[in-house]
Amino acid sequence: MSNERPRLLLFAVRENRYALDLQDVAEVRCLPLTFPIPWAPSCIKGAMNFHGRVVAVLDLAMFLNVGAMAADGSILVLHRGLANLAVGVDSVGSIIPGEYVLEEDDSNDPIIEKLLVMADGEVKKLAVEILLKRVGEAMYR
Amino acid sequence: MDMSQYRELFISESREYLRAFNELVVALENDAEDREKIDSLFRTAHSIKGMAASMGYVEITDLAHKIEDFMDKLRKGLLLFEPVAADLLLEGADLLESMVGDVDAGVSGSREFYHFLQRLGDYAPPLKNGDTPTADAKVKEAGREKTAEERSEKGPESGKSIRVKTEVLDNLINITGELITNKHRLMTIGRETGGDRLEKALYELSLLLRGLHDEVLNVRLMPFSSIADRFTRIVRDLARTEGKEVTLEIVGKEIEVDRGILEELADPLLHIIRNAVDHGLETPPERQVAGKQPQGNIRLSALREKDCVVITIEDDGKGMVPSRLVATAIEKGIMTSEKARHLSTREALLLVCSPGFSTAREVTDVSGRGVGMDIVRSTIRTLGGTLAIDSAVGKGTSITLKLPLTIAIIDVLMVSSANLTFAVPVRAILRIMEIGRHEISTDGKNRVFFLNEEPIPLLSMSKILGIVALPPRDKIITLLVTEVRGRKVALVVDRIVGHQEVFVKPVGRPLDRMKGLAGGAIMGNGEVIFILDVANLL
Repeated sequence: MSNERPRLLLFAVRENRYALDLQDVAEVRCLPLTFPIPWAPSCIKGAMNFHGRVVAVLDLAMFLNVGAMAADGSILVLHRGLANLAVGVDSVGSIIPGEYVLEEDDSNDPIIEKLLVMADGEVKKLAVEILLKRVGEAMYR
Repeated sequence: MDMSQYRELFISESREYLRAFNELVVALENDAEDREKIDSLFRTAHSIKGMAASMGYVEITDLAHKIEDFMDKLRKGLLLFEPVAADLLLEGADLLESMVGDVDAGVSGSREFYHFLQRLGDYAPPLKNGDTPTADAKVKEAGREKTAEERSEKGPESGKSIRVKTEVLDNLINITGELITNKHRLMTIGRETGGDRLEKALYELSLLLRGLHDEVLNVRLMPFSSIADRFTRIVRDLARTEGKEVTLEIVGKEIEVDRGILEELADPLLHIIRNAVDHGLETPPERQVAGKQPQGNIRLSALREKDCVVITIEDDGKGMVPSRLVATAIEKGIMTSEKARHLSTREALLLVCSPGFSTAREVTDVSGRGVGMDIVRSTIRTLGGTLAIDSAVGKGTSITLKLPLTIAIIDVLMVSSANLTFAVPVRAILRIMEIGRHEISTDGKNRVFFLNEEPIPLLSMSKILGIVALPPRDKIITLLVTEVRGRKVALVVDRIVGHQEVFVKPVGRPLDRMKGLAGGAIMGNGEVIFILDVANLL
């Protein structure tokens, strides 16, 4: 059995760097054309047609209350097993092996699973399940 | 020979046989002399034994064999079919069901049924006249046995039918849905580029797709009996526990419904039926005091109505008192007394479906989950259906569920309000109307218009959707008359955009948290449109 740590996908929202497990992301693409969703909160940009699936697009910056995502931003479409959700971010960085993480610290913010210390600075690893739970709560009507 | 490929077939066929077995035993309890049913019961046990033997499931074979022997004695008149016999046979069916479950779960452990066999062997109620069957009767029975066994070899399905995995059926409907979406895409391109030849080809494609869609829907249809048959046994067991006498009549077993709907419907129906036995029907002494027969009746019926199936569960029990329901709702803080004053009788009865109304005693444990009437109603709504309750004190209660025959591909009306286009299932619309502004009047705080002298409240779709309404363009307003919570309402929209058949895409997590969305659909131009769940709009 491999002991390799999962690879991470790095991205930026405003001045912060974030990460998701690469295995949670199905596709990365430019911000697509979206269509309005009735009753959706303002952090939801709309819905997109993703290979025939109806996928909601979340503006992560707005959801985190740090402004709005860049107009030329990208989206990270989560795997369908997780949710029908794409996370809109300002820019996408690189894919790095888990071994690049020098240290892991706990975070006080439940939406951040770990604070990852790397050679070039700190990255916040998102707790996907908590993010999805909170988005669901924001959608509740 | 590798038998593993036949395992699933064995599991599904055995379960079908066991369902029929349970139903036959309960039917025989009411008429122990029904020879045809006794023969069928024997054949069922024989078939289970044969299938298990061919698969090498020794324990199932042994148990089915003993039950078959027992049945043989019953049909030859060597034993009498008394209530204890029914209990033993149902216990045997439960044991067999558990063993089939073990096969399904891949569990190889053995079940203990020695004590059951002992009791089966000890069963010997005296014959009516102490007689043994005559030689003539034995000859006749022998002849019957041959015919019965010959028939049993044929199994539950013979002829030109085959078994198909349910996943294949799901894939078929998904592919058909995607083909329909792509047809609309081609039609959009055709309109943009023009060309008679393309238009003709698309027309033919449409006809073929319509045929494919109908056939795929047909193969997904399952008879109502596939879920209804199990209730006979449940009602029998529950009535016995409660010390009640109950007859369950099932009507419309042959009505066919999409299997996706039937699967979701099983738990809600079970809850309603259990409620009827638990709380609706009286005990025999109570019924006698009320001038009724000691035996209570529940009638479960299914019938087709256009593109819907209507399922009704009626009991002849004590009924519900609307004023008492209202008082409970106020007491539990579900409703203020001010609001309660304006409730109609039907609305008052529907209070039993309010979250928090059911007491723990009224919540049924279905498959290990607590199910109350609120869950029942929300399941019915999720399926695009409606629930209505009628009740008369002392006479009984009737719960009516109206459901679509299929949920995957539906006809929708596309409408727009304040630049937002959305879809409304055609089956949810009672009427589409255009009225003049002068036809609108006020009734208290509500704006209403009169339809056949009935005041219908007007609700602005822009307001419901929380969007800024466009200024009115003319003196005519467009309305969709529909039903929300058992009451007719008219939804005011800006414009009817069109009518289309769409493949409903589940919105999934996290959009499924939004009440009022029945699903999404992808239009021919790639646009995503949302389908409203009208019953849950408010």
